[in-house]
Amino acid sequence: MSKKTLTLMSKDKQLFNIEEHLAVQSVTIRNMVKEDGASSVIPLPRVDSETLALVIEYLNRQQAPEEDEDYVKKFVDERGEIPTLLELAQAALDLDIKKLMDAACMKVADLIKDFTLEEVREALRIENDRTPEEEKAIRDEFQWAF
Amino acid sequence: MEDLPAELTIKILSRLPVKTIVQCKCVCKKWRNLISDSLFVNIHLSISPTGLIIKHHLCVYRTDYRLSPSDPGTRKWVQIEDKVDHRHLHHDPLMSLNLNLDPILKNTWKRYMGLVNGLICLRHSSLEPNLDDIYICNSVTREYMSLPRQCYQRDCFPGVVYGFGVSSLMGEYKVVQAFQEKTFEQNGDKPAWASVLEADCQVLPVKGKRRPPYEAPGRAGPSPWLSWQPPWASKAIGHLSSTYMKMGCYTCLVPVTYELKTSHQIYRAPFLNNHCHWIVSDSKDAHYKIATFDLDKETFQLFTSPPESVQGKRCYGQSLGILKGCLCKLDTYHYELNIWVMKEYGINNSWHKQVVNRTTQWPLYQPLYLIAGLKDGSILMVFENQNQLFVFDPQSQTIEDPKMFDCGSHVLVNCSRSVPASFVDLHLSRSPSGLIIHDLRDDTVTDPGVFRWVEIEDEVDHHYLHHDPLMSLDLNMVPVFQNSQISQKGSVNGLICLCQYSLRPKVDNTYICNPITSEYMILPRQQHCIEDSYRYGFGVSSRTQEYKVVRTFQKTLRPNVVEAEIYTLGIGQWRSLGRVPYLLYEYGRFLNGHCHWIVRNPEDARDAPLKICTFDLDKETFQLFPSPPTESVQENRIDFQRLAVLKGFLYEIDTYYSQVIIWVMKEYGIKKSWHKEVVITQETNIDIDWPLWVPMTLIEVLKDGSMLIVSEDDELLAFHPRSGTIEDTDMFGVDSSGMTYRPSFLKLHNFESESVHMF
Repeated sequence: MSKKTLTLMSKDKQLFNIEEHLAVQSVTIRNMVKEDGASSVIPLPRVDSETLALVIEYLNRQQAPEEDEDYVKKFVDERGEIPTLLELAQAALDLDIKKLMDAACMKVADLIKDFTLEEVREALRIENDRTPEEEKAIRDEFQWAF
Repeated sequence: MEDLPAELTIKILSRLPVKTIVQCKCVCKKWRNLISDSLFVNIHLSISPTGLIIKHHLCVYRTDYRLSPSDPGTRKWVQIEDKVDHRHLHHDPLMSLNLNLDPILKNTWKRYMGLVNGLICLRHSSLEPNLDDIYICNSVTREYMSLPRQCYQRDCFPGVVYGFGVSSLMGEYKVVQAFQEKTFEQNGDKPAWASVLEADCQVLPVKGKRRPPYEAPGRAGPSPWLSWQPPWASKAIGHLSSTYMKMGCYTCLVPVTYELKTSHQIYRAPFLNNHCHWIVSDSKDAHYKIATFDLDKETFQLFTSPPESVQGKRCYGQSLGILKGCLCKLDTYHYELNIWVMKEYGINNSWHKQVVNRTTQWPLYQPLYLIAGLKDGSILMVFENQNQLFVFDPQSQTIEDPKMFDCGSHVLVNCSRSVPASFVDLHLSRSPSGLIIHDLRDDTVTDPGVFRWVEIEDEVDHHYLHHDPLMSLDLNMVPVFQNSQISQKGSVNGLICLCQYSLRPKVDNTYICNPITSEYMILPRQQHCIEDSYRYGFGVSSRTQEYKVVRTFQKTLRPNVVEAEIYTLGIGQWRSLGRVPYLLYEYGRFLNGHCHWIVRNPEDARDAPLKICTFDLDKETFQLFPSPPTESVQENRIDFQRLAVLKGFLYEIDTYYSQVIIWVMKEYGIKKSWHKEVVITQETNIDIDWPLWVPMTLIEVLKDGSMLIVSEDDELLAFHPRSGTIEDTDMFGVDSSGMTYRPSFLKLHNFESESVHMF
């Protein structure tokens, strides 16, 4: 008996095949399959193809539940680049794959933990819209943290 | 990634160490706003009672809205006394709000679109059919704001559909507007469009027009509106404002591939679990379905419907409602009414036909709308056009008119509420517990001491205690604490209860403080007890999430009469709980909505075994609690008994002359689950100074199996039960004490009516 496969489409219109029983680790996909059988292509308009490839690589590995924690941790460790991790976390959030999302967010948090403010802004590409006075006000309010 | 979405930011930020989170407030304005949060609104919302709002027109309502009267009407607030055995709807005529008194709202005509957490979404359809004005208002704080106008195609199908709700993740209030160019019959497969408008109510400057409060003196005027307990802190809603986040004003267009069904009367889309719900149809299928709009993801999705009911009968209407927190669907047939309830949200086969009424007193030609389910089992419903509110009792199948409507009333909303997860909650659920250590520099009664915060790196294979010298709080620097003695009386969710004592001047104060936000508050004093007889418990009630301090005291030493009183944060005064039949030892250990003490009944014999007593913070009652089984040991007498709560379990530590027994209750409340976890004896542990003259106390168990205990010399020891070794953590000074502490950003400022000071 051949296993049922689903087709996922990334933002840049690339198609990926994945077996249904693996894909339904994503709660979002599970709901879609439940509702309408998801016979056709499932579009994922917010996920680019590199990220989707990663997500599929993650889903494709059959894991025993007890090895799961280690596996997902290693999986995100191997992809230690912040931009990749953010994309991965966002995709996992959209697809509702809790473990992957948690692990990716945790990894980002670990990486930026010891950064200076400037480094945090740079790493997450955030523009500094605070004036030095505002920053000083926060520093004064929470003196113990600086 | 262009811009880090707020949802993801929160998920990442809440995993950072507290100190980094505070530093991150400086990163950008958005982050600062994410981290500042008001928990008070949530706490208050979770306990405020449900009621109804009824709208009255001065003239009789006409079905054609273009000819409708130009009267915005009056809102009546109806309180529901909702008990298991009876119900009563009560309306105080003084508690209404006449919109005609406002110059801007005068001579317009409003409809309810939805109501969430005390905020009402109103729509004003002007005589020009292609223009809608949307208002969000809080009739309690008497504030409203208008959302930007949205123009749509002139030939647009008049049924523009709205949904209003609050996203569970970010707590953002959003209005979704779906408009269709034509109906599906005219339009074929052409999709409809929806746009999302966000009303962020937290930090942005006020844009809405503030309504001047009524100046009526005394009780005679309409001012009782203000005396009714508002579902919102006026402070929180004071910042009500509109903002068009990331997508700009109504420019985010989401294609909707189905027609959202609506009626001329009731436009609201029931809001539940972060979703707005509509009855929809699409061009392919004749059957109506249910669609939802996810307020976080901002997407429409089809939702599971109950099985098609009565075959071959004409259905006069289908509508959705919320019944006791469950989504439900009302199918109206000629002489039959079916109510389907979705017992578990989102689970397809949990649709359950709860109520069938075949003996309706009148034939049903129109849809019925569900308003509220009451605790006695009856259901409040309203007819679409007949302007009739009635109470239906499914058990007796009877219908009753509560006489709340008159000829001018028509639309009515149930005040549903939903508490969004806040950053504070998310952070708290993840923040690792640490220790707070209280050092006295010299052993006198005039030194308040220093609080030091110790972080624990708690892994399966190792542990490491770390203290950052910057993260301490010297109470000598705070004028109110100088020259007094301070002791810790418990900690929950980052708040610490402190007791202050000094002889000259005579001070006997209780404080709640949060060292992270540098806030503290002083509880009112009571001077009717003998010195040093206070015993404290501090915790948060499971049901209402209120923070409460309970304490017992004695007015005289003999006879031993113990009384208790309770203080709820935000209420502002102690309330007596009457007599307590026990003498309490130490401060209460908090777990599962209860505080736990070792107690003694003063009437018992001197050598009778001590008991455990709990205080339920919801019911506010004391109760005995199962103790560990009695052990027969050499000395036959426990010298000291102590309780501890570690990693969600209750522990009892029994100190004998020559050994220590540590008990753990594996299943809370089950007597048989008391398990003898560790025995420390003189033979196996020669490092400890035997024999024991003071109690051993347990501070924390770590994931690598070691236990942090405090022994005689005020040393904080790490004990490894497996190897039996003991090491000194070097964390304690000459005279220190400690307890576990989970840092949090819970602001004391959020407890209204408390005066809060800064360290």
